[in-house]
Amino acid sequence: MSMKKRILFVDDDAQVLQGLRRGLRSMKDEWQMEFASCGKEALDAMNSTPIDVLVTDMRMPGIDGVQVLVEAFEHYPQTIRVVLSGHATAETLFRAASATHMILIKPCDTELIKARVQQMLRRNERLRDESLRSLVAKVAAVPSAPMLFLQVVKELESENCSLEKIAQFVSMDMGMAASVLHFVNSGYFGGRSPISSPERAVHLLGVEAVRDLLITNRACSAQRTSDFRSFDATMVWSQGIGASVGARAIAYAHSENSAMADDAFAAGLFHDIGQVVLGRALGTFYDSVVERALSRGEPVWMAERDVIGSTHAEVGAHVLGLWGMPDAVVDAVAFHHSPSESGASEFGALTALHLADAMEEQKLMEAQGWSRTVDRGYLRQLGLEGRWEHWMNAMSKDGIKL
Amino acid sequence: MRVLIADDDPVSRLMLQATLRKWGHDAVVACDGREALSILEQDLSPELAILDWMMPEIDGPEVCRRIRQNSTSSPVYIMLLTAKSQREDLIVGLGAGADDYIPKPFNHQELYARLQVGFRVADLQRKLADRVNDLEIALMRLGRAQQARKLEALGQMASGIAHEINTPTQYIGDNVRFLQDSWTELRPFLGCQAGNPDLDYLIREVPKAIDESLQGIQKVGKIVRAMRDFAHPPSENKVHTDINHAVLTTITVATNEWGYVADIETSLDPQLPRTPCFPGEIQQVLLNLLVNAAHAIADTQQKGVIRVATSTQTDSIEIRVSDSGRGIPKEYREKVFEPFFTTKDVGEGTGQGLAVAYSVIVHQHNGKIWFDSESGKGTTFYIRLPIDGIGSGKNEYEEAHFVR
Ligand SMILES: Nc1ncnc2c1ncn2[C@@H]1O[C@H](COP(=O)(O)OP(=O)(O)OP(=O)(O)O)[C@@H](O)[C@H]1O
Ligand SMILES: [Fe+2]
Ligand SMILES: [Mg+2]
Repeated sequence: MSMKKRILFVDDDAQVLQGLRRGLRSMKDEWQMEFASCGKEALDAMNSTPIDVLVTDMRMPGIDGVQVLVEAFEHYPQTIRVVLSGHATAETLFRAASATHMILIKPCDTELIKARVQQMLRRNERLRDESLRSLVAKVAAVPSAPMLFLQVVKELESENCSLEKIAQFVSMDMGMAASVLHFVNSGYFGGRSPISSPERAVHLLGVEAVRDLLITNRACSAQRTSDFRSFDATMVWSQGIGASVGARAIAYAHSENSAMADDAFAAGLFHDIGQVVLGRALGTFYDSVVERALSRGEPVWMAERDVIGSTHAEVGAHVLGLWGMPDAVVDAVAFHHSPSESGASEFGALTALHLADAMEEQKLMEAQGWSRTVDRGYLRQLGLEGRWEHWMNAMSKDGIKL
Repeated sequence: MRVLIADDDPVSRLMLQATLRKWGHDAVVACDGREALSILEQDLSPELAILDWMMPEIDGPEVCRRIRQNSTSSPVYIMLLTAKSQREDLIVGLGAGADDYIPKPFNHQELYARLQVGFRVADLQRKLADRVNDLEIALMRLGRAQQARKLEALGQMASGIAHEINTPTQYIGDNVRFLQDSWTELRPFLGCQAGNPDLDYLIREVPKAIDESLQGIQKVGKIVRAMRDFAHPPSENKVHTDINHAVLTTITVATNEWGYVADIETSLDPQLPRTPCFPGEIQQVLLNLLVNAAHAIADTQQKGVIRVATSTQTDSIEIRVSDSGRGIPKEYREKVFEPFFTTKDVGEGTGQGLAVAYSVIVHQHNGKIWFDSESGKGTTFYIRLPIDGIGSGKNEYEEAHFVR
């Protein structure tokens, strides 16, 4: 049996804490609940024993919610950080955006609190290796491609700035797309189901909020040139764009279901985000892992599995899960190298991503037919093996540009 | 001064024109009553008119009558030129709306003196009209500012209340959940007491009481959220707004206005695109329409229904607010968008609601607003807002247009 999770609730209103203690009593076998009546008490509690989940109010006298969240992120990045607030302003939520996993708005039913916290805990445990988890947890966001980031800044500053254009640029950039989706899916807009389209996220937020979030509060920043010798992060971005458009085209050719197409798009855009995260978390050590793969001529994920113990697919799924991405996207990223391990037997975002990824690779090598990295067993199971050309056509119809 | 001379006799026309020009006036001429009328109805019409009594088809007194009937033409001082000097004719002329008369043939000095009087009066009239116009504009601005303030106050109150009650609502809910869980745990211990009527009653009613309390808390939660959403700060730029959401929050916040007289049915287009607008202003318009609908229904003395629908059109979104109220009588249909037009008692209506709605939708958003109404059956107001936030056709906002 796994150990009880330690959950710390912070609120300056004693009755709220009492209510939570009673209302969540049914979780007493799984959660060890603790209560702090101010920010200072919360920080002390965290310092004495590490906690798994922090649930905090925002407006409190003295040390407020933003400070508690930011301190928790800096010193105990692996805690799940949740806001439970009745009158948090957009401004404070933006400030704490990259330190917050989830926003719950008072009044919030304890059933919902239970469900959302449990889901986050499950998603957190996708990555089993705890020490890797704590290294990865320090990465709050991935940076943007400088070109696109500048375009967005320019557009936001222009007099008649167009939300459409911003949405387009954001959709092509894994850093900014992740930031807006993370915020929109965190619960800022109430309990709506998570979305996977960066374009819709931008439209939901509006110009002002996008500016506040991305620029003013630096939820996102431009990528600096790295000193890695073998790992080329810019490749991850451009392949993300190719795979996003390709996977969406394939999903759409399979069925005109726009939700699946959105999921496929996001899965494509973020499929190798784990590499960027590993690069940031492990630095030159990760560079050496990539180097090893290159010198041996094996896929990077094999080297990662052998040396680090987990692949970039698992790491990517882990962070995307914590950023509130829909399950379909998280699963697609998790299994994009070996979809048969997912156990899924129906066509989905995962299928579209795997096909798009495999075909991108062939295009780069100017080869015909299935690449050697494709999961043959999976294709056979879904009855897709004989249809290479069909998908190739679907992809080229959408005009893929790199 | 601009002066019109209307006379069918070319000789006296030219003589008069020459005289007036000599005195430094800008004199235009008309050869008959019809031409005179058309000049007087133009913009920048003359301030003073000298009309010959006898003209073919439309004579001088008839020109007076028509000009005085036409409420849109600007004020003009009219002098009738007449060869007859009988008293009766004089009375007819003044009765038709003339201000003065000049007997023909005219004496230069008398004409000069009477013209001076005319100019003085005309000048005062114009000044007065300008003043009235200014006052109307000021009054309208004041009315709009007052409405905006009312809405702001309502928003502040709503968010204030929301802030006050969301915390207690949180712990009431948590405690009821606790009672629910506790009851489930306690229930087995009570099982063996069957046959005791009091206990049977409790066993039946306690879970229901808990369920209903939870439902009530959920409802409170919904209202609190609506109140919070209603109160967002005024924005300087248009924002992409979920109009369906704006509709729902406004309906909730205005419950007090319609709750006792009507049920509300909504049919909101789930595919409605977000629309660039000033959300506070749009909510104000919705609120005004809802309040009007509720009043129209209250007048029928029967419980009615208000239907609010949204839909997507080619390049705009449409909001419809229909009521089963008393309808707008034919004679008022032209007037309802005018500022201060109201059929309500003092204190009940200021006649600002639809004027503000018009100005917000048409002038601020380049949209459209109109209605269908059937007396005794009800009224439907339609609003269209351009999806691109720009709309076709530029609209130069000119408040003065709006007042006339
Ligand atoms: N839905 C409706 N049904 C019937 N009559 C209406 C309706 N809406 C407006 N009217 C008529 O139009 C008039 C003008 O409406 P408007 O909203 O501009 O002013 P008001 O409601 O009288 O006052 P205020 O809105 O300033 O409190 C109303 O007095 C009423 O006679
Ligand atoms: Fe990969
Ligand atoms: Mg009204």
